[in-house]
Amino acid sequence: MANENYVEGGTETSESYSYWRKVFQRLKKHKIAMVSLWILAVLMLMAIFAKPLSFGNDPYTYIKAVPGALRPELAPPSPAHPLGLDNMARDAWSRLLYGGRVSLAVGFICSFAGAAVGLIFGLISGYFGGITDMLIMRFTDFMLSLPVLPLMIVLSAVIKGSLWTIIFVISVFSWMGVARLVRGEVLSLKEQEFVEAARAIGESPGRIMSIHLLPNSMSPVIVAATLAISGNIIYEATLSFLGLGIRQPTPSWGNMLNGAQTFMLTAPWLMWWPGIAILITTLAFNFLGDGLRDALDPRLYR
Amino acid sequence: MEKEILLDVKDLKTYFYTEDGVVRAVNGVSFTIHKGEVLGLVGESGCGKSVTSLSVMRLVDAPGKIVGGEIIFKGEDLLKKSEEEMRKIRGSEIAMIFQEPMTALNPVYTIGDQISEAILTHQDVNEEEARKKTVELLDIVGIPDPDKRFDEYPHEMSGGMRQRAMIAMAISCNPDLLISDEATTALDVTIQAQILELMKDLQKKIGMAILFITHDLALVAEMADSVAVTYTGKIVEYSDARSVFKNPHHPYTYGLLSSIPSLLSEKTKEPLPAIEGMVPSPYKMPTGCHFNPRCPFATDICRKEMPELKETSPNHLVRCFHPVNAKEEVS
Repeated sequence: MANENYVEGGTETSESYSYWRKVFQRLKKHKIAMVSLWILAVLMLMAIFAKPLSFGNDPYTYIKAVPGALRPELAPPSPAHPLGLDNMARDAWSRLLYGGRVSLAVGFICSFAGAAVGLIFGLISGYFGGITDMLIMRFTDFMLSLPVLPLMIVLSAVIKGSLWTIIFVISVFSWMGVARLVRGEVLSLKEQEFVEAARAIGESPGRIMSIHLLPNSMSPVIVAATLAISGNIIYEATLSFLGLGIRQPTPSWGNMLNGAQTFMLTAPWLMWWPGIAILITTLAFNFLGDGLRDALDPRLYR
Repeated sequence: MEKEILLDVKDLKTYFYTEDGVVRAVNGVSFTIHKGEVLGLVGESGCGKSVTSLSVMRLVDAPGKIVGGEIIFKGEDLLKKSEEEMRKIRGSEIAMIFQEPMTALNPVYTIGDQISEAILTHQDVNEEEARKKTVELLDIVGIPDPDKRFDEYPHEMSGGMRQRAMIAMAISCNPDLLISDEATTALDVTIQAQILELMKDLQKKIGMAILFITHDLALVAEMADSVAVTYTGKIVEYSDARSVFKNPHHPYTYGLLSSIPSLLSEKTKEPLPAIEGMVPSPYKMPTGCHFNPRCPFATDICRKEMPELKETSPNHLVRCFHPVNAKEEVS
């Protein structure tokens, strides 16, 4: 569709150009992905610099009084508290910033962990084939056939929710796609002659997997992992919304929504911002993933 | 000329156990390569040439399996070696060049990195020395500006250049045996000539033997000291290159040679003689001599029994009941 936008980048320079620079040049042509990338960069900076951006407010402090409001609880937005106060009289803006840390951390770490586990399973499964492949893939199918959300709810109810248990619970269910993807990739890669050539110069299976197969199957994994980030953020939000994820008083976008739903009619602004934050973040990751998929498409190279 | 035997393959059998039945890709192949000698392995597609070479490297993958025979390399049977020991031999003592220079190099690494990898795997050198050696090798195989080319990626090189890089990789550890599996098939003729020249040159310089696998008879005539013609996983004719070309005994070899077009022949207007039919399906081998359905000289015995590989004239082995005794020159 938009393929005419992709021109070979950098061929006019005589020096050697790297693969990743070429990928980035392609990505730059993808407008929505670039906008998403900027939005994500801003969101990440906001999460990182949550403290200075809170203007002296703290997400855990109960505000005693707000000028112009009868009670500090559920006070509407004011210059000192741009998003108002929540039902416990805590500053919603700083909670939004600190909550972003949790959501983004969960998104990234779970994706990374899922991709790493999936890569290992996929590489082993694809390279060795036979009974190993059969066992790993049937296990993957088994995991895929489980109803994820109910199981996550049960799991996180059993192991009480801290940030790391949530990350663990989500990661357990997020490696299967990558495993299948990598296995498929390896199956086709290992028929290529460079793998045979590597065997013919006497390289060991471990080395072939790590230096030949892994880098060559990275592109789809990067795309899948990027797309998975938004899914993981939503899982975290869902669990926290249901009261099974991040526990109060630690803020996360999900449990902020949970807290806000009771006051949906009296203080609707409390609900908007975490909702919008989740929406923007997941959309941006999805668009970025799409852009990466186009930029990394190997068919555009060979 | 009695030379030291480098590789002695005896009655090699490699079968593929597929769902549709057993494919006898290599079915009792025997040949000998002396030190520094070039053996040409010729045949049509699907005659087990490549499987033979992979068997020598012990690189046959499931469902394929080496089910019998011996591969004596420098006096030791490779089939009795452990995978670990084989890995040490691959690359350092037996090296291989592949058909497709386009896919035989890993697209994500530079040419130099991949050649150094071979050196680093087998030799006790540091990266700097490996780089120096690699640049030398690139120079030897005739890649101009080797120091700069070291850092280039495969997609920045032409097919001929890549094949040169493959050869550099193959000879990086001074192997005693180089297996060239259709190494020049994917290249155009001028590049092909250069690559062959290079291989011959290197063969003389470092004294390695070459197992030269091809379907191109002209190349074999050019390169090989002796020739083995294969058909359906068996050797049908085996002799020194000169007698095979001047005086082919097996009807198959005869057919192959007469189907080479000649510019000088007066018969240029006539259709080229071809061997009738096709290589039989591996699942439905004809009884008797496997070549009998395509053979103009086939008789009843050919349809009943598989002939043995017999010496028809000194050092000339032929698997046929009715060897052609073409005294006239064919080519």
